Amino acid sequence: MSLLTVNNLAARYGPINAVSGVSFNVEKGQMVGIVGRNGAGKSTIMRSICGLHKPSAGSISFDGQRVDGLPGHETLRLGIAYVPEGRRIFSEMSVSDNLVLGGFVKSGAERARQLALVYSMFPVLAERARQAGGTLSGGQQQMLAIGRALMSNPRLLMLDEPSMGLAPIVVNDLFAAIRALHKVGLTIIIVEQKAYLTLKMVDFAHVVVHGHVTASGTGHELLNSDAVQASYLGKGGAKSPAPVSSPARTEASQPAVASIEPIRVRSATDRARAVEAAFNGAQNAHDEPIDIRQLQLTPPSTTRLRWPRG
Amino acid sequence: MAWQTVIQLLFSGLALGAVYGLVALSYSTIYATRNVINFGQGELVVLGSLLGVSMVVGGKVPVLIALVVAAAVVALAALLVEWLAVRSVKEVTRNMIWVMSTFGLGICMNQLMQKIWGTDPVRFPKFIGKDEPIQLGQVTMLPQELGVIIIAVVVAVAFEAFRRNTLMGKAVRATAMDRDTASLMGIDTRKVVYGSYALSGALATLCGFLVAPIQFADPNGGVLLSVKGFIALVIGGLGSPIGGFLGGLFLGLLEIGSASFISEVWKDVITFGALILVMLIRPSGFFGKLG
Amino acid sequence: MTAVHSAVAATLAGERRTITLDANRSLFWFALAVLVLPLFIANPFYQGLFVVWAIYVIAVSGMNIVTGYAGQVSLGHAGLFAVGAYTTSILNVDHLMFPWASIPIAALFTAFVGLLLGIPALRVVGPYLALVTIAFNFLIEKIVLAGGKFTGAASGKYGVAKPLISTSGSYDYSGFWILVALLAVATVWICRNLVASRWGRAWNALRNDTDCSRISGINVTTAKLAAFTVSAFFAGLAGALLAHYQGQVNIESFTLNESLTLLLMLLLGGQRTLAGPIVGAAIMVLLPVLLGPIDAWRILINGGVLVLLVLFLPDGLASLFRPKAAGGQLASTEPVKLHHYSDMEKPLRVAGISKSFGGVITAAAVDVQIKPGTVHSLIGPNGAGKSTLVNMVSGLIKPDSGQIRFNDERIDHLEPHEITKLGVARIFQNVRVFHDMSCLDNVMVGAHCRLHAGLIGSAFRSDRQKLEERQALARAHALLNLVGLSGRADVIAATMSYGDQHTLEIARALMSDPHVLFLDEPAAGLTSEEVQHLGEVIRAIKANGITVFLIEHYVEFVMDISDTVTVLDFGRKIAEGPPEQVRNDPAVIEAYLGKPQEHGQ
Repeated sequence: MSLLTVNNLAARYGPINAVSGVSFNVEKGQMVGIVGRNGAGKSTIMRSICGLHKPSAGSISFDGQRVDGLPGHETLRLGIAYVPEGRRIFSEMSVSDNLVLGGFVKSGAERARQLALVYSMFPVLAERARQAGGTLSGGQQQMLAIGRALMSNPRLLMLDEPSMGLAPIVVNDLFAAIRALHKVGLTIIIVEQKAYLTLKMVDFAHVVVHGHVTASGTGHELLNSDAVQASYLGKGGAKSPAPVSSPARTEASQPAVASIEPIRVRSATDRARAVEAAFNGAQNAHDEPIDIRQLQLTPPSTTRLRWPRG
Repeated sequence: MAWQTVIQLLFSGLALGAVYGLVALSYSTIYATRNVINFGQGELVVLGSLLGVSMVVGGKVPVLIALVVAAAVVALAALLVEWLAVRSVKEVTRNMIWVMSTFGLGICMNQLMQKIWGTDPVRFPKFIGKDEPIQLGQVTMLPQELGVIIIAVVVAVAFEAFRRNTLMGKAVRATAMDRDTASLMGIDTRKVVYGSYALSGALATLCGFLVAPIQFADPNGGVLLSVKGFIALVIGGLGSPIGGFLGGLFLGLLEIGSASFISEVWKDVITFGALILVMLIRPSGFFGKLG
Repeated sequence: MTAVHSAVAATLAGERRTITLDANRSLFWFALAVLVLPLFIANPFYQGLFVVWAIYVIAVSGMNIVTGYAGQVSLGHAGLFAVGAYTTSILNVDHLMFPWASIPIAALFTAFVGLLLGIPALRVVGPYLALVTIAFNFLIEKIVLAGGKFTGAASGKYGVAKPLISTSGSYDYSGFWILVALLAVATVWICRNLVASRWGRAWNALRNDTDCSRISGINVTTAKLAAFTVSAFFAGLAGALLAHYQGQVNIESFTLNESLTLLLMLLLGGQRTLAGPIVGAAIMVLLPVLLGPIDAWRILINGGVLVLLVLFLPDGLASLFRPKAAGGQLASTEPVKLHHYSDMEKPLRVAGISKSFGGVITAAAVDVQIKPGTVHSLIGPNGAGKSTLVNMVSGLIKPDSGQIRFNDERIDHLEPHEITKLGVARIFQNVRVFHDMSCLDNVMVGAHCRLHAGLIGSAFRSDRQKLEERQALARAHALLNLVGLSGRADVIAATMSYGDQHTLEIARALMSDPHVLFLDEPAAGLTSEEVQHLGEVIRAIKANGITVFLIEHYVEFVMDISDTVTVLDFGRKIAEGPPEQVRNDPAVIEAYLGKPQEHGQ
């Protein structure tokens, strides 16, 4: 059974459909990426999972238990820790206070243990323990936000655009830390705009365009296509067709990604074309978005160390 | 004027100021988590003191027990304010409708208290020492006043310590800063809000018990207390409870000082004038940030 | 321009027409009631009620302007009432001034006091302002009590004279009610005129959204002070009339309870309607009579009614009746004249702009030159500082360093409404329209800085003001035509679809006749049909010689429509040029996607 199952999720902000028909699974120990342009609906998916936003349709199950509609403080108790977009640390409180709050639901002893762990992972936080969170640099704030999430010893860690506003060299360090967390067995979902960096790191990824998952596959696969670039910067030359359509058309014609048939691929060019079509969300011969999982199998990454269980 | 008199005035001012400071503190506890000011807060203070009178004088109940019982009742009344006047309002912070609904509710409470307890101020016996002033060196003062100052300062300090050093206190501060993110920490923000209201009611009750022996338990005194407590909060700075308390001390000194050195009649003019001055010069107060 | 889109038609189903009372009808019935009815009433007590009713109508109509329209909560209005009453009493009793002189002086002095009261309102809002008004009420009370002989302190002032009026050939007092009634009718008429003028629109706008009002060209300071002054004038007038009617003043009748009564009159009848103060005042004046034996509970009932009103019927009794929509003028079929600026060189130059918020650098030494008559776009990954740039150009934020020059004049230190007046207009990223106002009114707000009518001219409907309004109205209708919203002039903005609201914002921005238009993520949240429509609107704007500066994430759209594209990352410019060049720039690709390294390229 998957650790997290999202089925046909739909969410709206007032009259705007931010997300519709999104389905995906996350297995224990996987790192899954959700990439897409700004405004594609990635954060809305995250917020629906962790309870900050009530979905308008669909279901979300965590370890077999329905969690859609549960408030934020309850999903944390179940083991879902979300690091919000923009970090949202308590800037007027000290670094140590921020971390301690992260462990709010734990006992004193557990908190102390997790705190030691976080300080060893991010020594810079230990150095600045008494400083106010708002005085840290962007990269340090991001580490603080992640450390804070780790304090509750979560089973699923969700990171929302951790690289936002950070210089490339800081991003490298950050992603190294995230990779390390993955290595020790923590299940991670990472939402990002910086597609290439993310795709290199994850086991599996989904591309989101205008609130729909338009392609899924292993990080490797999606990296090998020009289609990712196309979905961000548009195709060159002639006027590109309108991307994924208005809600009215969507409800009528777009089926859920969950129900897809494998596509027969005969050659590399075939595959490249199929991937490209997927990223454009445009119609291919079968009039459906393509799941690249069906095109090539990749063995799951093996996990050696386990993240300490409380 | 003899220095002894000055010292006495100082203590009177601090005692009055301590009361205002506690009112400001009780505003802060709600404001911190809900971004709402209860315009009927003074009525809660009066309710506390009137309940105290009934129990202590009428029922011969010991003061401490009366305090606890009254605090419970007033805490419930505070929750009633949230439930009736605030919660029903959609989008609390954008609409300022709660200003008028808490104002109206405060007036209702005031009228009800007048019907029950009458319109005349009632005596609340001093419970710290007796009516006779004591002698400290060359200075005479009422033990009640001294007691008020000490108790209020202790409460304010304890409150601040709670906010800064305990986990729950930090959780409350976090809820005030960023409610969504606080809930991501596993904090049940709704319970935090309710707890804040109850605490606010308890503080108001304590305030009522402290002020009534010095002045009177006055069923009509609510609005003035509300306004002065709010002035204290504004002077100190809305975001800072301890600032509000200090603002209250300042206000008490200003009031007693004006009454003694200028005139009794003009003291309120000066107090309100000070408010408007602060609003014009430094709306965020001296310690806090504008809400 | 032929584009009128089916998407627009698809959303018509959920829309609601404007609710506006037929103001003329209210005025007529009120005039009838207050001038004619008392003639048929013999009982002097009830005759007296009419006078009191008329007086309160004056006061509450004024309060309607500052609290109802301008949204500045006044919980201490009785203080202004008192100032008027006491001023005229002091002048009349102590200085033997005739009521004909003392009443106007009292009204004007109260207006001045109201102006002073408005000054804190410039710096504080919401609960703080409410506190200031309550404190003001107390302050007046305390000043009166401390005033000794001058104000009569606790005992008040007696012997205030009624003005002599001739009703039957000889001077006597009985015609006083005619005077009061006429003044009341005049007040209602003036308030109607003000509300319908650019001042009323400005008040509505600042109540809805202060920042949006600023960038629409409204001087919020002036508007707020005007609201306070006008309402204080009427409160003072009413107070003075009351003093002369009762023959005495006592501070007891001007306490916070009286403020509550005034507030209830306004809320009960319905804020922001002409009939509201009339109906509300009638009910509250009759209340002691209606309550009879339980009058002792009146204040409690008042408080309870306030709470219930605010929670369940915030728009008062007026909202229970469905008045018919206002008959508007017919939409003009002439094409709108947007000025041709193609022959004028008015470049906008952003030079070395830097801004940081609490240690996070949002913009660093950004240098952008916008050529007139082109569509210039700004793109960049999230968090790159694009919105901050627009906020700085439009004056909502001041840059830490650097300059913004328009037509070679520095504008970075100017107020938003001044920048708009110079010809730089903008719309917001998250659509910001004035929710309570109709489409037409939303667009008309844009004209605020181009109209000149003052308070007096608007109050009395001078010829110049009427002409101005007609011209503005014609232009507004033409603009609605241009953007495809014709026929929806009366629709309340809040009920329109997101895309339509966006279009409405553009129409409003165009109304101020700008040289440069800044669009902040106009395509966000739009369906593809709406995006196409947007592209056509932008092309139409460009065709009229207006420079368009666009911030967007929707890259295909940007590449399609722009002449120049600038790319920001970490608040720095990393590329600039024609779309094709920028799209293939490796620095740009890296900024968006991260370093591709060995894979994929």
